[in-house]
Amino acid sequence: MILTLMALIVFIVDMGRIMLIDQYLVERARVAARMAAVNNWNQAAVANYVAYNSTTAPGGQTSSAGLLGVRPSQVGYSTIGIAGDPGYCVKVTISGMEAFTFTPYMAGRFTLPAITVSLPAQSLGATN
Amino acid sequence: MVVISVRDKRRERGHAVVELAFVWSFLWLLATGVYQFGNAFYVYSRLETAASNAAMLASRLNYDVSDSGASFKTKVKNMAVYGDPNGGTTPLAPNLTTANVDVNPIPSSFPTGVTVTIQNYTITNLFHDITLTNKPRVTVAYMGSVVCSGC
Repeated sequence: MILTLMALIVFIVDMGRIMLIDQYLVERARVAARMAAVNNWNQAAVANYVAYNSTTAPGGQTSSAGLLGVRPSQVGYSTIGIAGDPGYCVKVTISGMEAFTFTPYMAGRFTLPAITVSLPAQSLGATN
Repeated sequence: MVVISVRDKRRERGHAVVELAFVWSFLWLLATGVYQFGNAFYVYSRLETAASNAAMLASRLNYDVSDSGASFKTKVKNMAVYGDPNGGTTPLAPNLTTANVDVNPIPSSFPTGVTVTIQNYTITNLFHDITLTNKPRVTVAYMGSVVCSGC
């Protein structure tokens, strides 16, 4: 009985942790998309911003894991449509992020679903 | 000296089985509740992001009165479902389709605002599905251009 209870508590903690990571990644993707929508950023700048909260990697080490283990290589950035068009959008994707669980019978590493955030582009760095 | 009879031992064992049944059913309810609410929050968060991003696009997209805003609505719906105004293959939330997205320019003749609503979306759970009626819903001021391509 106590083992079952312990397993249940570990399950609850695991699920909470995974939701925290997921929400964190969604927030990073949204913030990065917002910044990309109002600045003229390229793929590297967006990827670094998601991972390190800075457009440049600390010490130029782009392969090192950033916030909550995100690496720039896991961040995708693309634009949709024609620049200047009202439907022009920026798209940020975070994929291949792993989460692990300790819960008995389902312990191990799992790949989280990809997170995609698209926003209409705004000034894209235009100053006037 | 306490003497425990065979009958007493059997009675205790019976009590333990009944207690286990009660506690187990409570734990089972707790575990499924945690999963169901967690999954519902997860999906709802995805829907909220999809609706707000689509609304943001809708606020600035050209509104063509010659097709009564049909192309406008299609692009906004695609944005909500696929994160791309031109459409896609993988929805942002499980089983989300363009039929689940309602785009309502207010007024439709010359919009000053747009409401994007996720309607009749069902969150599939293990034991009890949750159908969302007209939520999440996002309303934004329309700041785009009203055009007439066929005029």
